[in-house]
Amino acid sequence: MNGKVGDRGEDGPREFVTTRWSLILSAASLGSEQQQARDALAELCRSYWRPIFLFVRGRGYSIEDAQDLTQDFFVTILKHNWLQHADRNRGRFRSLLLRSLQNFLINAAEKTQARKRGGDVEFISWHDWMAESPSQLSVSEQALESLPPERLFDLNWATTVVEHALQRLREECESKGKLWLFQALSPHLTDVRDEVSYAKLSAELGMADTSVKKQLHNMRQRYRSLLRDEVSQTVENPADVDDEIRYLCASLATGTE
Amino acid sequence: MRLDTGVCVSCLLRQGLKGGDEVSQAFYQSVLAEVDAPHKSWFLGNYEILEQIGCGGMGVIYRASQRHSRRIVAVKRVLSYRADSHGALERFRREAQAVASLDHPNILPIYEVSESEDGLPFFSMKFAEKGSLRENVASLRDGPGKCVQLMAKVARAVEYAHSRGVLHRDLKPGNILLDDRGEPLVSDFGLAKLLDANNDLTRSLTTFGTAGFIAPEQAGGAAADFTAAADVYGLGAVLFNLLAGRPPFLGSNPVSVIRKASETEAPKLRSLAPSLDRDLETICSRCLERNPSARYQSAGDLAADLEHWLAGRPIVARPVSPPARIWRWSRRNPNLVGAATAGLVLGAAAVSLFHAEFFRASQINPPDKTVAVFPVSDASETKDQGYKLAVRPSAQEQPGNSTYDFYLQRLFTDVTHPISSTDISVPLQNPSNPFTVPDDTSPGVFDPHRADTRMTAAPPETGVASSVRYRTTEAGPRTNKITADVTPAPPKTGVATTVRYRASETGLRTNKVTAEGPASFQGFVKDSKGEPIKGADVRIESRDGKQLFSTATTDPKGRYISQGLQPGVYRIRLLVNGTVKASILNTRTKVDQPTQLNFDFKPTSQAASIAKGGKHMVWVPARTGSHIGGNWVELDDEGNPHFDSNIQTYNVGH
Repeated sequence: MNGKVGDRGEDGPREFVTTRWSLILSAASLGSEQQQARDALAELCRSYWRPIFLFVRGRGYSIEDAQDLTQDFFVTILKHNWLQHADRNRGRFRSLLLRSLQNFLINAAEKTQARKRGGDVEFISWHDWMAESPSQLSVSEQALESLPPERLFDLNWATTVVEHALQRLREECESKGKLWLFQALSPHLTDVRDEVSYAKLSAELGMADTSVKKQLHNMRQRYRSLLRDEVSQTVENPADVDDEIRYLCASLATGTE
Repeated sequence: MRLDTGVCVSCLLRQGLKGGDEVSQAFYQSVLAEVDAPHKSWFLGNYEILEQIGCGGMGVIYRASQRHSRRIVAVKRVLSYRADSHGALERFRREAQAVASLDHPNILPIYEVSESEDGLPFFSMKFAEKGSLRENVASLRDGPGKCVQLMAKVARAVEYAHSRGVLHRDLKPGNILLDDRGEPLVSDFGLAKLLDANNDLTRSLTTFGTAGFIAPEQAGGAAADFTAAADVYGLGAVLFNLLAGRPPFLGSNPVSVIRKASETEAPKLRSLAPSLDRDLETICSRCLERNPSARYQSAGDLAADLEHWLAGRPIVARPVSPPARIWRWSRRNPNLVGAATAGLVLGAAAVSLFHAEFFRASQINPPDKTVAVFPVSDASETKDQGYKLAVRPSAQEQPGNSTYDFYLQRLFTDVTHPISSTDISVPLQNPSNPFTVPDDTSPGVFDPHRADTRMTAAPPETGVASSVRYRTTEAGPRTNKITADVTPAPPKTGVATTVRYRASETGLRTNKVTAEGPASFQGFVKDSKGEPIKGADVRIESRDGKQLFSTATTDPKGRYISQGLQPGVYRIRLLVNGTVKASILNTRTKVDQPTQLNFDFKPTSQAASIAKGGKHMVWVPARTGSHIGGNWVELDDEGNPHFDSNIQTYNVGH
């Protein structure tokens, strides 16, 4: 028993994976209001608030207005049976959310002009979000102005996925008292084999070369599992994970020249 | 595009497309655990992290050194992915908020709340040199006075927190720390509820405390229902743990512990630690009442009683009144009420014990209403037999009327052995309902610990039916005569005894058992795979273990038989390869057939189907697959396990 998820018994059935998004979709197609599905949706919204917020900012709203609108958007989709009214031609969570957000902002623009909101409805306090999802990626005012909001959205979505996976990896290391190992090795997660100076790392860490190699190898593999898990929560079918990652890679490539 | 750390986002994403096995968290943690490089210190804000000293569901705790002052502190940090991130942060904030409002020498202070570079909050607090009570239970157990003194301080600290509107809700040995002088510090207000905060968020959170220490209402009820009484329960459970060496309720998993706490009475302290003072038992019992309103009304009241005890003054709490106990029992066992059947025994000890309880109660709280019959609420008095004497209203009567039935109740179970035709008449001069202790009852002279008040009830299988009449024809406790007329038993049990007891007689009296027919034990011993264990010794000893009657060795089929015994109560020890694996106290022989006693190292789930008939001992490992730590339990005919203080468990390295 080596604990690797990929090693399933030959005669064992393939594990059925329920992603958050598939849970939400199945609840919606049954027309039911399952608490579990609502919780899953709320959790996904909390995870991906930043791309939404930055999309709204990219539309030219001030920080305060963008905060209010983001809150309102979440309240709308969480309370008003969003998926019942959403496009039945379902897509991934990311694309459906973006489409809904675009529609929401068309209506919201009129409302915002009609009344000055006081931030009376809060899905959860803004401060909480900042603390829960600190971003290691700072978006400059210049980028906000120069990039189309849809690009900003995708770019931040991709970054959020990566950050979540890294944060989980970091916490797994820290919970075992090995934060120092994470700090030393995580910058090398994407290095190709030749780029890593194992001699330097092993001297720095006081570990044998072979041990450093093993740790880095397993850290990469674990990171990869975590990243795929993050992505899989936003697609209906786990088989779509690769496609979604490719899409995000492409959006990064075009968004950041 | 790169992260602040300089790593390319795109490259990090593409990692997800590379092949290779998926690595589970458990596997990765095992890989991390292989690293044995010297520890590397690192910084979190102004603190140099020295070592990890704790890790819970929500985060980690470090021992750390403050950068400039070099003061050693504890740093607690949330790891949001270890639990629902929102819940973890909420809990963290609540703790910081709760403790910030508290300034008490026995509450662990928080020094600073801050945020690390990754945006997650942490706080620093006083470092408790001696760890928590959990690690100190063994060293404290020898000194009940020290335990009580410590818990009195803890109760005062909790009283103070309550006065500031903060309920702790997760009091347990692990949350009571000791500083370098051994002074207790209440910590971990992560589940604290601010009494005056009307916040729906706190209510919707799952707020389980720790099984074994949380109040029953906390496990099942809405958060809004919690009161200070839930913390009183927690304090009582911790005190119980310190004094008895184990929490009030045990079980193979947290759910079963919580269920037991909700459905059954807490065991009596002295059933586990007979040498302790009865007042301490009363105090614990009062805290562990299932009904919150029956507990001490405040942590301060509990602290006061503990202080009374320390000063040698009478405590305020008194044992639960018999009507309450009768009512409770009849509520639990409606089908048994009134189902008196034939054939068992009542030692007159019961009545004398009643006096002990009865007058002791009056000593504390003089002229108060109580009832003329009693349960032997202190099970330790009859612990040698594994039974306690209890009482219920007679079949046709309601509580409070004059006729009651006795029954023997197996300790810590609801298994009862009714005693036929017993009744107790309420004294004529006190016909009130229930009757009242006479005002002139003089307290203090009836000492339950004196030898002349301790008698032993015979176990039911000795087959003595009895009728007891209790008369108070003379004034004053010393002159009460207690007479038990014990009538002949049914013939097949072979016992025909008439015994007359007087409470004023000195010396320990025991029913003599003179059965003619031989008794025997037999059964099997099997290992965790169900294979017989050959050559194991089953020793039949006297109850006190001082006399060895016989040793039976298992054959290749794992069977043993030990014949030629006198009917009675024995201690049975199981030895495998010369090592004691289990010791079953107070095992009775049956007189008309061999007594079955099986030892099975299988987990209960697998053994349930073979539990029919006889006494079936099953080893329950502390965790699946382990044969090192765990408990022996007794399976009943339904296959349900029962933990019983009569079963002494040894480490089973089989």
